[in-house]
Amino acid sequence: MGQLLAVEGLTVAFGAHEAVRDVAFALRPGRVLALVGESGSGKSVTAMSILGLLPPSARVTGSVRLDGEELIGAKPARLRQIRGGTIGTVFQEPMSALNPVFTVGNQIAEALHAHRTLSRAQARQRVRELLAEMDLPERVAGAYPHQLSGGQLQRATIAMALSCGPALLIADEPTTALDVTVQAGILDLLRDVCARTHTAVLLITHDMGVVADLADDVVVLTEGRAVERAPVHDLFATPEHGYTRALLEAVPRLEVAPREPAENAGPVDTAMAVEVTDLVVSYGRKVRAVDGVSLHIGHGEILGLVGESGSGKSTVARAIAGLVRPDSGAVRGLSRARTGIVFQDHTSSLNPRYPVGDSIAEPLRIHGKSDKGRVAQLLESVGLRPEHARRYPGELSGGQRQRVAIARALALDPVLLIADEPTSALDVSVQARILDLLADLQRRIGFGCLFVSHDLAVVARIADRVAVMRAGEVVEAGPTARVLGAPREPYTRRLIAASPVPDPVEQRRRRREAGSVGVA
Amino acid sequence: MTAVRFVGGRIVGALVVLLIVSVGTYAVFYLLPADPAQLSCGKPCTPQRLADARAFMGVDVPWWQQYLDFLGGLFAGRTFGSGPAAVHCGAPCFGYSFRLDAPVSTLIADRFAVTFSLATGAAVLWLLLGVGAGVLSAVRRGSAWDRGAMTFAVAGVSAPSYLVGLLGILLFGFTLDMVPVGGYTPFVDSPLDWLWHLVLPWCVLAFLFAAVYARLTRGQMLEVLGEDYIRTARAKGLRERRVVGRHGLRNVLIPVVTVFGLDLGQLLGGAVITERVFSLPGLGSLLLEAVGNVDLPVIVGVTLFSAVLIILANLAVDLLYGVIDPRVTH
Repeated sequence: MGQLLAVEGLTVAFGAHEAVRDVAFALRPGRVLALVGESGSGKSVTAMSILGLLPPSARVTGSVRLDGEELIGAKPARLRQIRGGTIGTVFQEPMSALNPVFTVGNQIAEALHAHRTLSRAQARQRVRELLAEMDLPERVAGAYPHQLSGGQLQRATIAMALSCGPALLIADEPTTALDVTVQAGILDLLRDVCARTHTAVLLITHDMGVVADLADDVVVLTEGRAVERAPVHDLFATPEHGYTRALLEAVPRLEVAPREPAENAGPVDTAMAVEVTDLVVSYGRKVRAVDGVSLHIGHGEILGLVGESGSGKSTVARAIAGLVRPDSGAVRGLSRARTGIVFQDHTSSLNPRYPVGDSIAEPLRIHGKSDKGRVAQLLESVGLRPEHARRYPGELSGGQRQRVAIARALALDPVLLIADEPTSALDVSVQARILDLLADLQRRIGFGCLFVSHDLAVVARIADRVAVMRAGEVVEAGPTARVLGAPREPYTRRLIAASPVPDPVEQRRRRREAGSVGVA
Repeated sequence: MTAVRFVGGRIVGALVVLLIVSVGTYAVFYLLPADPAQLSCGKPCTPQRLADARAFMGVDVPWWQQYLDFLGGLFAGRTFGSGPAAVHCGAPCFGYSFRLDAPVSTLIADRFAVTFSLATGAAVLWLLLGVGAGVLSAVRRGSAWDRGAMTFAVAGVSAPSYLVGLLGILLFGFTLDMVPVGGYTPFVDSPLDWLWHLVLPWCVLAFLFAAVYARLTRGQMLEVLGEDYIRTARAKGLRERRVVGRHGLRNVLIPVVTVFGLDLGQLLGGAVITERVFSLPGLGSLLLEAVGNVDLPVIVGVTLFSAVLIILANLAVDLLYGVIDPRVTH
């Protein structure tokens, strides 16, 4: 069988910086090839260079052949025919990937008209068929993007990408912005549709679970180089390159073996760091974000609060931190000064105009404490050096910024540390180090911690107890090993079933089981 | 349903603002120490004549009564004085100029055609020029065109209108003798003369405003071209012209329409300086003359009329939002 896509010696340079260096891979019709790597590895740049969509400042050399036709240096008109015609593309953020001022049906029809000669009625008919294939109701065609959910939008963009029957689908982090249960549905859809239409998929992702679920072959990229190419089973079973091994080790797994109490010992005492009873928080008159939540966190205990977007988990964290006013209910055992907070977005949670040392010292100054020596001490405790205090946030990496945010949260010796998705914006290898750091600090200092996350595997790795939230309520809570190992609630079971595990054999077995019992 | 509520809400809001503006305008001018009766009383002004004048003008009653009479006049018209000397001012009565012996609404109606011709003609020009130049600059960012257009735009933003107007008259009116140096001919009398007299004022106003629009459009377009949905549009194989002209421009228009509504509303209320420079007998000139003569009813009337125009323009913008941006109404 001939190659559908053959990439050889692909190099992309922006000025003196080579974002992609001498990358080569090949993709056969009907197969799924995953380009895996962390941020800055060059995986998205590689995809954009295939489409000829890099900014003019990029210098692209090497060869990209689609069905034997060279795409590097092809005429713009020819590239336009290929884009959307022979190659369909699905991007990461379904919410922003569609134009907010046109209906979804209009935008799908536009793709059809760009490549086919159709009457308006024929296009409308084809849009209806495509939406039906994606299990979307017909009314989606007349809806504007803001009226649809993330999952519906991503199905619509897949419909758009497949509208002209492409031979290749480029899916750039197609499920990264979605909840796990929605992600599972999208992955099923991609697999089924592409298998049925014999469409090859170039999957770009950082998520080893998604790779294990979908890919036939894998190319591992780091710093612009392809360091390993292997069939998916071989890659997970016997990773050859050191980087691949490190990457696989860093991936958190949903391990359900009971944790040794001694391992996360520290002073787990019976006194409560914080106790929340019957918390109710509404936004506006209609939306009840939190609806009667009770939970407690002991000194030296990490409580993982998990749930999908809109479940109310962040609102609980904000209410405990005093950032939103609850309608009713009580938060006891806590003063504001003894609460530290770490937010998800490390790019915006530090003021870009202040050296990070000032950001760390600010809570100390507000509370009238001397920051002499304390900033340096805090920086060292999070694994940075005292001289980092003079750097600006822009000069630090994402992981370093998140360490600074943790140092700031610890400045006032908190009784409770609230961490709201602290590692969601980080690469897995960085995430692993930040999780280790948090666990280590917690062991040494003994604060209680509310760890909010959508990622069950991350919570499994760090939390002593887990509370699962859905639609503003805690549906299940208990020790981590019990909740994730032997979940009692159907919703918890569904969440666990939907989280792809980074193991192709196990993941494919889970999927068959899930399919047979109708969990999606 | 939501659309009906949206439109209804905006209209009610506009009416409330209008009411507040009418109180404010009325208060500012009628609570001033200038007494309209005193001003038109003539000499010698005996107390009896002053009292008669006050009664005739309806300013012998408490201020709130005066305001209510004024408001009533807007809807039902009103009559000043009684008997054979009485003057009637039909609805909508914006007041009566005793100095010019004419209802303010008639004075406004006479002058509005001039201002309307000036403002709308200039608006069409500056929208085409400004948005066009802005889009081109954004698409060819950093090119010679971009730098040239933006330099030109800085000049347009910072130049005062009387200077540009006078220079325009000097160059095109006197030196090149291409257009008349001032005055106005109604469209119905001679469309060609109408056009001829307005070309230069249009160009002057358009130059000044287009500069703002070019900069605004360029900035917005650069931002929009970086959006994910633009990448999606390119990835589905659309021509660049369609990507920019349809997916880009539609989103750029949202802020442009906001500014445009305000600008046009304001200009329709009278382009005081431009009308003065080009000797155009529009609303702005009427207001200027009234201020010079302390003709209070005209000042109040024109001010209120301008406010109505600005509020209507805002209302139009709000409703237009609903058409351009579906997120507003849904």
